Amino acid sequence: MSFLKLSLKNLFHRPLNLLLSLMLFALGIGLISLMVNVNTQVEKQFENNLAGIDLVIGAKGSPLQLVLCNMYHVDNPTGNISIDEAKPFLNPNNPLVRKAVPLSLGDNYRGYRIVGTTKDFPTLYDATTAEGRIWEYDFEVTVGALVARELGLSIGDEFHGAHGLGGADVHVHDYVPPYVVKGILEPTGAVIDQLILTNTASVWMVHHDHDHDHGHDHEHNHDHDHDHDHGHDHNHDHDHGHDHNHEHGHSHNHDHDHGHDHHHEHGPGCGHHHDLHSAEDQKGSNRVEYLLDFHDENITAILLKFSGRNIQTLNMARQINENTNMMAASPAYEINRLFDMMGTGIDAIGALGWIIAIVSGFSIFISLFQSLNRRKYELALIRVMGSSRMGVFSLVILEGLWIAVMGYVAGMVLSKVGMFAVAGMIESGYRYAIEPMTFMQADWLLLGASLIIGFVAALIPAILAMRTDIAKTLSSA
Amino acid sequence: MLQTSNLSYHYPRGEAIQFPDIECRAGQTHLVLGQSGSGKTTLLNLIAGLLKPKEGSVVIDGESINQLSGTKLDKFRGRNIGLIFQEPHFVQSLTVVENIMLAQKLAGKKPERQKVQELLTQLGIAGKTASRPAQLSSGERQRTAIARAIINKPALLLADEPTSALDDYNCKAVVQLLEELAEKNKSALVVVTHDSRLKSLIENKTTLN
Repeated sequence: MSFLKLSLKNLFHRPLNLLLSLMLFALGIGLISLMVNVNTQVEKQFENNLAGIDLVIGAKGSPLQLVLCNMYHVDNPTGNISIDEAKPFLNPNNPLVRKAVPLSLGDNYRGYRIVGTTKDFPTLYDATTAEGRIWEYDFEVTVGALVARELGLSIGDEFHGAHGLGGADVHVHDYVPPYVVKGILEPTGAVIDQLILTNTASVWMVHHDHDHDHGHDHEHNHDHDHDHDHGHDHNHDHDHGHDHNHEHGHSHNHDHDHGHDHHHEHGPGCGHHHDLHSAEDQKGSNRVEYLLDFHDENITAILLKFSGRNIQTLNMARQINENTNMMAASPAYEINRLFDMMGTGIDAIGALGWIIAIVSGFSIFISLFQSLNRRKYELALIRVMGSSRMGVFSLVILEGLWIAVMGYVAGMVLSKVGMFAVAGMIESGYRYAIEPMTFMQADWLLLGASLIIGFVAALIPAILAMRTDIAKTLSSA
Repeated sequence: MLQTSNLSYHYPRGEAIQFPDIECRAGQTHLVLGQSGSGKTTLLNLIAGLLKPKEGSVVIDGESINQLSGTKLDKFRGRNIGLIFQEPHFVQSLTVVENIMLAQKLAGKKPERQKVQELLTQLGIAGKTASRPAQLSSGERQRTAIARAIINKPALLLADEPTSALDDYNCKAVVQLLEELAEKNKSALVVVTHDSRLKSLIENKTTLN
């Protein structure tokens, strides 16, 4: 019967006392660990996704919203910006800009955002294809690893986007060709894992066709008309009575006879291209230069990387905010602001955890102190049977440490269960994958803190036990 | 086995007390009789090394325990002195057999369940090995306390008022049992009591005033 075992038996001899101490301890440690883990993981997610982007340019509104929407894909867009206004920043010849990535949002597929962008976008996150390739032509998509995994998508799968940025599939765009999965990206741990990427033109087309009542001006196509002599005459007879009769060489029969009831029949091999650019014309549609030829189109935002840091880039945000209809926001700044706000709440819960942990330390102290009175004969007896003063000291200390270790383990279980819940909430709400079972350095530090609390709580009872006058105690029986 | 000489003690309140010398050989029994307040518990504590004498010495098995200090004395006590108290105490969280094995462990010996079991059988409480101390009758508790005191075959077996709560029949039985065990284990048995019934049962005696 070692003291290690004896101290444990002593604790279990009074199970209710033990339970109370353990519950408090576990709750305190669990809360602290949970907060540290959530905070670290969320911070890591945010930092992972900064991707070296210096500036986000979009429609005027809340700068934080602009950043959250376009970099983290958790909020709605502030609006759209016209491609003409965006062009100076998209232009690869702009000496201040190393990389400019346009984003066009607006649709989702089963909750995952469809992003019209250029092939520079994956390079922001060092994302490479695990299978297939990067999108090239209209209605081709390359999907993030999480999307592919969660939705079970594989190369060649087709789907229609739905209007909006997630949630219920209210309005399915089934009057345009379906998107075709051409590639799946390697997991990166960044936001790109949860996105569906296509070219900007595809997003435009989906939304043009959607807005049937707005006098459809497909002028952007005609900008390319010098190339358009492949039998597609882009003859859009939008007669506002929704009676579309397209003759594309293939027979597309748009029977828009009432309201928004779009019947669209794609015969096999019809090529899906009812008002698209020709294959030739779509060359380079995943490059930023492609967009420079368009007018009267909108994009949601531009992610910008500066070519260097100088007075001009420093002033760029202010210039944009003051002199254009657009807004520029620095992601690093906005995210720091967000953390400052969020940090207060997290700190408060963490502090609560520490308070509970300290209260549990007192509960251990009181419990041991009371048991000491009850057990003074036992302790005297143990001395009589040959134990030294240090022996009984260590016996009581061990009881404190046992509670600490058991409380810590229970607290970790609580913390990890909590992490699963939080991860579930974050994943269903924001599509971010949080790793719930990580064991961080902070968790080890908490083990140290637990042992210190257990030791300190047991210290005074242990000293009293050590000083017990055996003769007096046993004579007073 | 036990030899005290010229023992005296100073109470913290200043009162001093002088004790007659006691000698008890291995396998023998010595009775220390005295009324309440005669200092018999103090003498017992001095012999057990739980109190330090002002003067004089206690020699057990050739070792002068007053020369020992701290951890060494604790260890020596655990190995060489078996104590039986008037009111037996146990570690409440352990079973009967575990309590006795703890005595083996604390004396620095190897805990042997088999040996403990045999002793308990010998004492007629074999059926109680897995019981908690709180579940025992007072007679069973005393036997368990005796088993614990004797398990390490101590050089000295010290019993404090072992019979005062017992009827005449059990009083005699317990003294006989203690003598028997002391003889078998070659222990010196010292019984400290105010119970005058023992006068007729034990030959060697010292009376405290």
